[in-house]
Amino acid sequence: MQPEIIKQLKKLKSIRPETNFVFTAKQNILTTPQKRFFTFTYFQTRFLLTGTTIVLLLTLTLSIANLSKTSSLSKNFFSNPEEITREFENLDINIQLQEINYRQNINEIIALALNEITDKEPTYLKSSILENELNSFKINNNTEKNEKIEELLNKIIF
Amino acid sequence: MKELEQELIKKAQKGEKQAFAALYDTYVEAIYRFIYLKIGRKADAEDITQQVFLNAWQNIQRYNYKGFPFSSWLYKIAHNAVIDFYRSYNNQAKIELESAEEIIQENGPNQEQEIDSNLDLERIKKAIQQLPPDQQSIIIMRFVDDLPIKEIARILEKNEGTIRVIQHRALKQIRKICSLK
Repeated sequence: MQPEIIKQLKKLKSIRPETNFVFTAKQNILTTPQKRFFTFTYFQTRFLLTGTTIVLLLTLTLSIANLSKTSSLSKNFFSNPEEITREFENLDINIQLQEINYRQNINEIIALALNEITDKEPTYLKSSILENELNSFKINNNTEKNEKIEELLNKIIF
Repeated sequence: MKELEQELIKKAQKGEKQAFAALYDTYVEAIYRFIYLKIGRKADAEDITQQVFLNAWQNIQRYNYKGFPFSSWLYKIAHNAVIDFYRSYNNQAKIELESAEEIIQENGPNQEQEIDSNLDLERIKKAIQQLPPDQQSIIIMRFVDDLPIKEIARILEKNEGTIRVIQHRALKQIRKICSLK
């Protein structure tokens, strides 16, 4: 039965489209413009690949250089740890001394300021000083003295 | 043959209409038959055939030769176009088969023999229509258009073993349908 079916199936090959349709469809298709796709040419592909390779190599070289720097530091640390530890300790002492100095200065300034504010009246507010200053600025209205001065000035000048 | 076809494809990719026209003339019958046997209606088969070749013309720059003839690519487009047709219109239930007399060309003067033959073909056609889509495609490509299993596997994106199994099931199914009528 199966060879008979296959024989029948082969006969379906006689199915054909109408010649009119074949011609019209062909005309319709060929009058439609083709889609344009951007495709890399051989040289474009080579250029792109070379560029990418250079960028990758540069990145890799820089990464390796950075890595070697870090590794040299760690190498020093592991080869001479005592020296580095000493350096760190000295650094700590220096920082502490600077801090002590700063605190002493600050404390003195604060103490002085507090004394001025609380115990005594500030010097610039003392009434005697202020009066003296005021007197020194007072214009002397004594006419006799003025006349004497005038005479003396005339003598010197003429 | 392959060299000539590749030459035509290269020219068509450059936009040469005559080259694509030659490819069209070579494959239009097979593609139309494939679609017609799956759809069962002349008008729809013509529309889809035109659409398949239009897609091929517009996208031919994307075609890369991978050891299979150009027809494989066209069958693949056609297979997808038929799937899209059923998906968009959900027409499967509405489709009525046309009579074999309308589409089979006259072969000879013996009318009685011709009518018998046409009736047999009608039965086979109807049987194909009742198969699942993959079985339909395999039966048409393998036994009507004589495509090798390897090429069918490539078109349907299945392995050759699967194609053989589906082919066996399809033939069994056709025999069953034909024996019932």
